[in-house]
Amino acid sequence: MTRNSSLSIKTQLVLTFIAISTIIIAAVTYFNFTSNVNQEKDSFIKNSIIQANLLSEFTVSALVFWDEEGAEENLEKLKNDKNILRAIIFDNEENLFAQYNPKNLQDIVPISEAAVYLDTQTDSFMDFGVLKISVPLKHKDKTYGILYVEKSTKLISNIVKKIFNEVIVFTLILFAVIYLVSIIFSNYFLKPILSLASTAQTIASTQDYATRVNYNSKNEIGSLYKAFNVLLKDTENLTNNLEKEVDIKTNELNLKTKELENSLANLKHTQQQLIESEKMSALGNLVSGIAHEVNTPLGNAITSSSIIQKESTSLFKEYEEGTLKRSTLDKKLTVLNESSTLLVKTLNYASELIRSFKQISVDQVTNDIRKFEIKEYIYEIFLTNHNKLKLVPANISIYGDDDIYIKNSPGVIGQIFNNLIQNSITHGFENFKGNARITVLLEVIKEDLIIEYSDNGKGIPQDLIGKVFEPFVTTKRNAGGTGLGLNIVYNLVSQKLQGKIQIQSQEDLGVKFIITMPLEYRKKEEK
Amino acid sequence: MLKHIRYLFLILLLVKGTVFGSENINLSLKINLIERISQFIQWPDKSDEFTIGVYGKESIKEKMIEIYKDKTIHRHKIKVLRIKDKNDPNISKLDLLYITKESSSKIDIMLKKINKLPILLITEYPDDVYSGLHLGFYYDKNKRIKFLINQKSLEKAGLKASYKLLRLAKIVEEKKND
Repeated sequence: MTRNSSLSIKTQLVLTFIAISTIIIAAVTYFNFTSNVNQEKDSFIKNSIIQANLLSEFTVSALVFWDEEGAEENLEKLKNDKNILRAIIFDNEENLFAQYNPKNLQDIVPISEAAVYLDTQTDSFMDFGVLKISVPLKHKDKTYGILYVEKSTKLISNIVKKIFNEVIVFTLILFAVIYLVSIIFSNYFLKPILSLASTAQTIASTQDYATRVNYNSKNEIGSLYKAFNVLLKDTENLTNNLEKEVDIKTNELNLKTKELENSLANLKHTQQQLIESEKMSALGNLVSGIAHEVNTPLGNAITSSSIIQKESTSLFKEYEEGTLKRSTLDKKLTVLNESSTLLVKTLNYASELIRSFKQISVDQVTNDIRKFEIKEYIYEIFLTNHNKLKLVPANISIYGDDDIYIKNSPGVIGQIFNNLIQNSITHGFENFKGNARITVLLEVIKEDLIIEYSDNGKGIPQDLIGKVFEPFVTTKRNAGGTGLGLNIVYNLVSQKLQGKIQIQSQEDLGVKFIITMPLEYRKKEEK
Repeated sequence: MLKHIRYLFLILLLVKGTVFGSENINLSLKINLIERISQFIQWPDKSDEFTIGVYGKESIKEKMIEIYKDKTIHRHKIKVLRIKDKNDPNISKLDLLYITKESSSKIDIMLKKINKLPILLITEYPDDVYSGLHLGFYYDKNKRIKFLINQKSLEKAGLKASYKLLRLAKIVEEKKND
C-alpha cells in the first residue's frame, strides 16, 4: 500500500489534531449554544407567564368590580418592563376593558382563554418574534375575563447574541490553544523521528553508511533507532561487499565490452570486405561477361577481315597475272562488300558493348551521383548480364517511359540490379522448367520512382520472406551463397538511394521487389 | 303662569324619571357587586346554601332573587330572605345581611346582636361602616361606585377578605364615640 502526501508528518499530525478538536468543539459548542438558547428562551417564557399570572391576580378584582382606573393603574406598572409591547384586559364578552399600549399597536388581538406562543414572522437568525400570552382572569373557579400580554423577545435575542459572541471568542481562543498545544506536542513527540528522518536523508544523499544515531530511551522510538543502526551496519557491510563485487563485475564487463567492440569492428570490417568482394565479384562477372560478349563480334570481325584479306589477295594476284575475269571480279567484290559490312557491324557491336561495360564498370567503382535515363541504364545492366541470362534462358521485359530521368548513383542501381538478377538466376530459375521471365516496371508517382522487379521463378518460402533482408540468410550456403546479396540490396536502397524496398513472393509463382526511391537525390538527408 | 307651571311639572317628571331609572340601575349594580364581593370573602363555616338577608324593602329582596336566580356564591345556591327586625329567627341562618338606607337608623340595635356572628354586613349607607358594619358603597368624584371596608369589624366577625378586594376598597376603622 502506498500513500502519496506532500505534507510533512508534523503538519499532518497538527491538522489531524485540529480536525478532531474542531469536530468535538463544533459538536459541544453547538449543543451548548442550543441548550443555552433553549434555556434562555424557556426561562424568558416562564418568567413572562409568571409575570402575566401575577398581573392577572392583581387585575382580576379591578375587572370584577368594573374598576377600569384600577385596572389601568395596574397595567401602567408594566412600563418598567421595556419588553412589554401591550397588555389588554378583556371581559367575558370579549370587550376591551382596559389596556396598556405604549407603542399604540393596532393589529387584531387573537383572543383565547389560555395560550402561550412565539409569533415569529421573520426567519432571521436570533429573532424569536413576539411572545403572546393569554391568561384567564379568574378568582376561585370563576373566570371574569382574559388578560392578553404581548412581549418583545429582544431580551432573548440580546442574551443569545451575547452567548454567541462569547462562544465565538471562546472557540477562537480554544483553537489557538489547541494549535499551540498540538505544535508543542508534535514537536516533542516527532523530534526524534524527524531527526531520524533527517539523518536518513543525509545518509541517502552522502551514502555514508558508517553514520550511527543515538537516542537514550527504551521506548518504541528507541527500538526504531536501534533497528536503524542495525540496518545501517548491515547496509554498510553489504555496500562494501557490493562495491567489491561491482568492481569485479565492472572489470569483467569492460573486458567483455572491449571484446565486443573488437568483434563489432571485425564484423564491420568483414562486412565491408564482403561488400567489396561482392562488388569485385560483380565486376569480375561483368568483365568475364563483356569479354565473352565481345569475343563473338571480334571473332566475326576476324573472320570477315580474314575473308577480306584472302579475297583481296586472290583478286590482286589474278589481276597481276591477268587472269581476272569480270565474273570473278563481281563475285570477289560482292564477297568483299559483304565481309566489310559484316566487319563494320561486328566492330560497332563490340564497340557498343565496351562502351556499356566502361560506363557500368566506372559507375560501380565510383558510385558518383549524376542524372541519367533509368530505363536505358537498366537495359544496359541486363545487357552486361546477357551471358548469364542466356544460360537460363530468361526473357527480359522492361516497361516504362523512355524519358524517366533520375539523379542518383547509377553504380548503386547497377549493384542492386546485378544482385537481383543474380538472385533470380541462382535461386528463382535453378533447375527451372518453364519459360523464365524477368520483368521490370518503372513508374513515377509524384516525386518518387517506383521500380518493380519481378521474376516468375520458384519464389521464396514463406518462412524466409521476413528474413531475406537480414545478413547471412541463404539457402545456398553449401553451394557458395554468402547470404549477403539481398542484405546489400536492402542497405543500398535505404542508405544510398534514400528509398524503401518491399518484397512479395509466393512459392512457385515468383518474387517481386518493389523499390521506392526519390527521383532526385537529397543531399541534406545524406548529411 | 299656568303654562309655566305645566312646563316645570313636565321637567320635574323627566328629572324624576331619570333619577328613578338611575336608582334602578344602581340597585342592580349593587346587587351584582354584593355577589362579586361575596366571592372575595371567606366564611369560617358554610352551610349548603348561601343565605342573604335584606333588611329593608321587599322590592330589593325581589330584585335580588331575580338577579341571583342562576348564580352561586362559593358554589352554593343563593337564598334571599327578608329580615324584619332583630328578633327575626332567620338571622342565625344568614351569611350576609344587606341593610338598606331606610333601615340604617335601626342598625345599632341589630348590630349588638349580630356583630360577632360570621355574617357579612353590607350597608347602603357608607357612614355605617364607621359604626362597625363591614362594607358600604359610595360614589367617588367621577360618580363611580366604590366601597368601604371596616377590616377590623370584619375580622371580629370571623370573616376574611381577599387581598384582591382589599386593594380596591377604602379601608376604614370604627369611629370612637366621644
